[in-house]
Amino acid sequence: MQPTIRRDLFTQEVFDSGSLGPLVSVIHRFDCAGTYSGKVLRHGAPAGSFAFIVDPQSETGQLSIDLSEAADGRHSGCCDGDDPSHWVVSPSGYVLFYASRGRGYATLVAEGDQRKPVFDSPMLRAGDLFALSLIEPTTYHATDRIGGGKAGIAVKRDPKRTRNLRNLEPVYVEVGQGTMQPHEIDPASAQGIVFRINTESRIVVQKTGKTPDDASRVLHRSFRADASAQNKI
Amino acid sequence: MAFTDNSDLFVSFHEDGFNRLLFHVMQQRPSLFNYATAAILKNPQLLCEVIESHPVVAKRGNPIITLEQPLPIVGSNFVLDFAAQLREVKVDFHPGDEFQLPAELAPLQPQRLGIKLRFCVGLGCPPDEIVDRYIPPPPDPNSRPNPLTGAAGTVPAASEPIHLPFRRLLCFCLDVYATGGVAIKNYWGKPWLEPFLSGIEIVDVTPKNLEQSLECYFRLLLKLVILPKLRILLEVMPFHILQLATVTITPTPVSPQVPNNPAIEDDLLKAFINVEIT
Amino acid sequence: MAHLTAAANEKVFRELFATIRDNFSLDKSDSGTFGPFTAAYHVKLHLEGGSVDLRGDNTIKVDELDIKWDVLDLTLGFDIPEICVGGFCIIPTPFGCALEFPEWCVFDDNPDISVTLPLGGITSELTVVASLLTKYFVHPERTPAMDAWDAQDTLASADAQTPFIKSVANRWQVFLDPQTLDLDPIDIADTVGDLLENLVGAAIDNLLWFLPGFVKDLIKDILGSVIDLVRAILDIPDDIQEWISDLLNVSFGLLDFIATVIADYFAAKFPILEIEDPYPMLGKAPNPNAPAPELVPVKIPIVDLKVFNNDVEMIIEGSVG
Repeated sequence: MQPTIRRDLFTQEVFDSGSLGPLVSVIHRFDCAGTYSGKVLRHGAPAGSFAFIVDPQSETGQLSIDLSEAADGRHSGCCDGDDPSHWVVSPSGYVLFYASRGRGYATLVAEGDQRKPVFDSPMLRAGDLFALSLIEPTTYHATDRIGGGKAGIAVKRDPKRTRNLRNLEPVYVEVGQGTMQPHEIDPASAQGIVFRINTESRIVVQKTGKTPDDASRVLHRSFRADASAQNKI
Repeated sequence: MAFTDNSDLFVSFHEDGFNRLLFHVMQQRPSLFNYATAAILKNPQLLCEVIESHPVVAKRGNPIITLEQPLPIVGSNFVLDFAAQLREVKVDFHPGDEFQLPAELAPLQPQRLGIKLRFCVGLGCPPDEIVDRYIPPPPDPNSRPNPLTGAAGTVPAASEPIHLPFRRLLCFCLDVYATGGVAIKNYWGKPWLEPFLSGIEIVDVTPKNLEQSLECYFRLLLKLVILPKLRILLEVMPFHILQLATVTITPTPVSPQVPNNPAIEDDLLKAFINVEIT
Repeated sequence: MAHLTAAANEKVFRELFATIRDNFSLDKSDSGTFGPFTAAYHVKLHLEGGSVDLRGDNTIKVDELDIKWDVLDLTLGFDIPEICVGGFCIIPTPFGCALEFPEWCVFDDNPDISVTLPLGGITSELTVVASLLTKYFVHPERTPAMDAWDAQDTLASADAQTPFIKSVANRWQVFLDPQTLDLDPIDIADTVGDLLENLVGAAIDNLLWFLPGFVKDLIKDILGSVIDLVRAILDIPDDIQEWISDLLNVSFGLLDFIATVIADYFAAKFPILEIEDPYPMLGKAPNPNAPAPELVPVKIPIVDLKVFNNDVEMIIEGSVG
C-alpha cells in the first residue's frame, strides 16, 4: 500500500504564533476560575467557537484545543469526551492551542460574557509559550514581530537525537523586549523548540533555505551581522 | 545364491505358466490356430472340433478361423473345402515330465523343450451320388471345334473353381511332437526371445514317406507360421518405469557363470539380461 | 510355485530409484498471518543424490537424499509503525511532564511493506527407510461395462493417469513405502539477518521514494536501525536465522508438509513398477481375413503378484491367471 503522507508537515516554511498551522502551538495559562469561550479565526475571519471551564477542583493540567476541529464544528479528541462541559482545566494547568490540519488559525478567548479577550493568540504575553518543531535541516530566522527580538536557528540532522524524539528535551529560547536568548540555536531535526514569552510578542520563524551543511556557517555569519546591526539601533 | 549374481536382471518362466499363457493365446487369438475355407467359415459347426474362444473375440468381430483357399482337384477346376485345426499346444521345459515324447525324440535333451500338438484336419469330401453329377460328359463329336482350345465338345473350360458340395467334414487328428529351444536373436537392433525347432515326430502314420512328408509340412508350419508369432521382444518387459530413461537391454553373454542364456532347466525358461540405463 | 520370477540387482534398483527421484518436483505456496505480520512462502524443490541400500530385512534405505531448494522465497509483510513528530515535553517536572506538545503523524495510515527473502539454493538431507509395497489399482474411471480391452483402449483423463499407463486399465503397482523418513530442518544461511536488514531498508526507500530526502532521513532516523525495527515489529529474538527457520519449519509446517509430500509421492503417487493387468502380451494384429477389424491384443491375467527384496536384489513373483 502506498501511504498517504502529510505533505503539509514538510512544505511549511513559515511558523507563526499568530497564524497556527502544523507543528506549532501556543500555550496560555488561565489562572482565574471561570467559564471561558473562544473564537476560532482562520486567516482573520471567524471560523468557529469553543468553550472550556477553568475549575480549581480540576486536576487536569493540560487542555489541548484543536482549532481546526473546533472550526469544523467537531470537538477535539484530545479532551475528556466530546461534551464541551468536560473541557475543564485546573487554574494551575495550561491550555494549548494548535491546529491538527490546515493553517492560518488564531484564537481569541474571553472569560464569561466579557468582551475583552484574556488571550489573543496573535499577541502573546508574558507567561505564554510558543512551541514548535522544525523538521527540515536547514536554517531559519526567528523574529518577534512585536518585541523585535531575533534568533538564528540551524536545524541539523542528528539521527541519535531524532530517534529518541519523545524524550528529547526541547530547546528553550527566552523572548524579551528586543531580545531572544540564546540568539543561535541548533536543534536536531524535529526536536522541540519552545519560546518562553516575557513580553508582548508574535514569533515568526521563517525558513531561509540554507543547506544543512552550510547552515551553521551561514548562521554564525548572519547573526554576527544581525548583532552588529542591532547594536547600531 | 542370488538370481542376479551374474546379470542385472533375471527372468524365469515356469512351464505351467507358459502353458497357461498358450491357453490364453488360443482363446483370444483363435484364428492363429484354426484355418478353413470360406464354406466352413460360414458354417463353423462343420468343423472337426468346436472352437472355444474368449468372448472378446466375438464382441470385437475378430475371426475365429483364418480363411484359406480350397484344395484343388488336380487337372480340373474342382476344389474341395477343408479345415485344419491346431487343437492342443503344450510345452514341457527340461526335464521332460509333462508328457511322454515318442521314442524318436526321447529323452528330452538338456536345454531343450518339448512341444505336443494335436492337429486335426477335415476334408469336405462329397458323397458319390453328388460326385456323379459332376462327372463331365464326353465331348460332342458333332460340335465344331472350340476356336480357342481346338477341342471338340460342348463342355466349356470353366475359369472359376467349382466347389464340390459336402455334408460334413471327414476328420482325422494327428498327435505331433516336437522338440526345440529358445534363443535370443537380434532383429532391427533389438533382442528377441525366439523359439526354434530341432525335431518333429508324428505318431502312428504309415507308410514312412507319408509320415515324413507330413512331418515336413508341420515343420514348415511351425517354423514359418506359428513360432515366429510367439517371439517375445525383450524390450517389452513390464518395467514401464524404465521407459523414462534411455535403457539398453542386452542378453548377458554366455560364460562359465552363465553357460546358457536363455536357459531351459528345472521346468523353467530363464533369461539373464544386462541393463544399461543412461 | 510362481509362474514368473523376475529379479533386479541393486544397480537396476538404483536406476529405478533415480528415475523416480528425478521425476519429483514440488512447487508450493502458502501464506499466513502471525500476529503483527503476515508471511508467505513459495518453494520449488527437486531431489538429487542419495545412496540406495537394499537390506536383508526386506527394507530399502535411501541415505542422504538431497532436497534441493531451487526456490525458497519467504515474504514478510508488516505495517511499519506510526511515524510521528512532536509529542515532546514542553514543561518537564520532577513528577512528569506538565505540558506536552501535540503529535503530528507523517502518514494517514500505517504503511505496510513487504520484503521477500530469497533463501533458495540450499540443500536439506533426507533419509528414508522404505519397504516395497504392492498394490492392485482399479482405475476409478473404468466403468463396470468395460472389459479389459475396452479399458486398454480408453484414455484416462489427464489428472487420473498414472505415470506410465495412460488408459483406464487396471494395473499392479509397486511402490516404495516409507517406514521412517528423517528430514533435516531447513538450514537458513547465517547471513539472513543482513539480508533482511538490507531488504527492509530498500523497501522503506521504495515506499518513500517520492518524498524529499530530508523527510526520508527523518523517517529513517525516527525508525532507527532497520533491523531493530524489524525485530521489534516481528518480535524476533536475537537469532533471526533461527526465527526464520522456525517460521518455515514450525509455523508453516513446511518441513512436515515436504516430508508428507515426499512420502506420499513414493508411497502412492509414483510407482517404481507398473504392470497392466491383464498384461498385453501380444499386441493388436491385422485381421487375416479382412481389412478390419484388427485382432485384439492377447492379454494375460497376472495374479498373486508380490515384490520383495533382500540385501542384493529386488524380486517380483507372479502367476498367469
